[in-house]
Amino acid sequence: MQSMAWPQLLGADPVMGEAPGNTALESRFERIFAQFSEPIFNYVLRMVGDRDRAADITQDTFIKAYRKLDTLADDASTRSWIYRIATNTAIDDMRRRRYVTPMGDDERHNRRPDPRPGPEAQVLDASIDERIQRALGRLRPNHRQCLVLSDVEDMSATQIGEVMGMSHGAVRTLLCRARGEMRRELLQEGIGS
Amino acid sequence: MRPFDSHPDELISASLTGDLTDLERRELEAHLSSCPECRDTLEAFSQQRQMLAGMRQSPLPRDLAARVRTGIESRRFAMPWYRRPSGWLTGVASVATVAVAALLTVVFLNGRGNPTAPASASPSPSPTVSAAASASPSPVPTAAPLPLNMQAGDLLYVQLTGPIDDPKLTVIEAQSAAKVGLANPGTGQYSETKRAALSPDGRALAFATETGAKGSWRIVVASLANGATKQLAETWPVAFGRRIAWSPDGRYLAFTVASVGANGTSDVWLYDRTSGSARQLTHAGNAYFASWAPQNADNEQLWVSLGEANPVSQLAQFPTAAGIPSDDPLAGEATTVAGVFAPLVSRDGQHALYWTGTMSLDGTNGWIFSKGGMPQLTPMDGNWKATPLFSDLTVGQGGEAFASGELSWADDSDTYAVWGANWAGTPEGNDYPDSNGVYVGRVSNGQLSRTSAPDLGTMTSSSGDALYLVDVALSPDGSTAAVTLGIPLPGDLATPKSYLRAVTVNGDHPPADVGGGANPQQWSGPGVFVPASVGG
Repeated sequence: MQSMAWPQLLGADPVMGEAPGNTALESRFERIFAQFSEPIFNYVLRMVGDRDRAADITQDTFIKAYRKLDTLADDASTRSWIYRIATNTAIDDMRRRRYVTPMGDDERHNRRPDPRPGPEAQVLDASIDERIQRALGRLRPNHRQCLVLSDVEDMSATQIGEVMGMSHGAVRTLLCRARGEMRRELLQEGIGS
Repeated sequence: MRPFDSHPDELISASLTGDLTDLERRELEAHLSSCPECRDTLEAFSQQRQMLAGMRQSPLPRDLAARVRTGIESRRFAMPWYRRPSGWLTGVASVATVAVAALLTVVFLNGRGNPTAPASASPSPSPTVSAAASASPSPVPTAAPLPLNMQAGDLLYVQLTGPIDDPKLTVIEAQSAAKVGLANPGTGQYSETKRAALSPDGRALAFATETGAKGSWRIVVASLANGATKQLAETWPVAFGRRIAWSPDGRYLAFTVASVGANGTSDVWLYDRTSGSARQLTHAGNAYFASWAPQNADNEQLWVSLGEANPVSQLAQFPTAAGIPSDDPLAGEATTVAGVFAPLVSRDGQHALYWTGTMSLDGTNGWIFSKGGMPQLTPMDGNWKATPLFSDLTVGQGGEAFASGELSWADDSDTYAVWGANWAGTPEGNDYPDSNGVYVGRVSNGQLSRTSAPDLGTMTSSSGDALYLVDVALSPDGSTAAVTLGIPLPGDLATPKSYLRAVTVNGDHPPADVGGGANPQQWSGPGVFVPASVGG
């Protein structure tokens, strides 16, 4: 996994009212950012289907995370905590743009020829990725969300429940419906049986 | 081992992640051995999981860490999507097209409170009768006392309260707090209200409310005397299709019914308070409501604009007494003006605001400007001599121009506002022009500039998120703007909240929060000012 270094310490934080040089807070945030920035970006990208929007949402996610860092009880729950913030931020964004189709901008990117040279297989893979993403984009948001958390992020139903604020049983039911819906959407893309 | 009543898809799904008890696993294995259909399902789900897990990871944008740091240090988030013009000019096709059939449901009422069939999805506007309102709004002005103790110049507003699964709409008079609850026409829950228009006699309020998760808008008309409502249409809030407006005599309400996608259409509809019915007026497929012009003798006059690469506007005319014409008034010898889009005529008929530029059809936003979009002012002398509204914004080589925006007049026919404007290309400076800004000018006072934006008060909510501009209404005398500012929510199930802020155009007083106050717990807005015609 590629990680991104946090560019220097934050210095005085007018949001949190923290004193300058709160190195414990900053170093904790640095670790979270380094570990989760790329997974969160890709998770959000699967959710919204557009790089620019995914970058904005990821940015807002980590700003919120920084503000709420004192609510993070222990490091063991960091993953579900940060995914939950990202999920809520992405849903909020989708809610505000719900009259804009989630795949709108991505359609433009998808039509762009890939300038990178590569073997035939790479082109084929890219095409399948595009079709999978299109199918994902047509799912209901909560179906898309739990499917990505399960099959892309490899979370258990219990972990998904922590992220989505649902019971284990509810996640199992939702996940089953999501798989059924995704199966139909993939068929529309000429994938699967 | 218990038999399954149906195919155990949930167990099949859970088996992919090992999320089964021993008993469930044994039951599933036994079932799979005798059910080829479930084996197919398992195979399909497994393939699906593998494909999703194998999707390529995208590299992180290089500037993300710096953006997060800047965001934290500057106490605010980066400019959210609804403040950025980029993306507005993006074409959208396939998904929107698929969605259209399900999303565009047009229903209107016959105005008699008849028993009705349920609303149904339709790919095109349809005269299907919809769910009935509890009663018909009063169709014509009467001598009855004015509702809500209203007087000319008062501010009314719509307020959405209650839990997310049982929201209520109320119309409140800001001064006296007199209120009337609105019945729900019964074809869906109320959600955030986005536009409102008060009839000239003050007795009927038309408004647009979101339809929950779908994102389309319902156009509803309500009697302020008793809260009875009628749903007139369901539409898609395309860029220039969000206006709802009463004719000068208050008999007709004009609105746009639009669909989205590659084959999206837009046409103008009218609601007639006398007959209590709504009908599609235009059939062009690219028609947007612009504005009513003052009545000409016994004729209603409505400017309708056609979205085209080089847009045109046409003046639809029909006899007031005859009701909504059944023939498309644009199909005859309508006055046509080339190069003019969405003209908005002042109450005295002396001036018009309008848009110029080259347009293109955007799959989600309808016809918007793709090149050279700019709002203009002209005297209504028939020459359409354009004067750009902004003195310090010019169409640039880098695509700098407006994609879309909203224009409003005050009843004084002097004060106007530009708001919700989406500027494409490089901004002309920090947040200028700002899609969250309201630029207020006066015909008597020259062009707009970056200094024409009155202070809207803090644009930061108590939770720190940037607010977003929903609606602006100018008071009849042009002194005050009622500005609705939405508060971003943490999730789909959160209660909608907004500020309704009274802003003095000249900065005579600091902005004041109306309705929900400084810490709103509900959605308040849009606001509407009682026109001078009330009681007259």
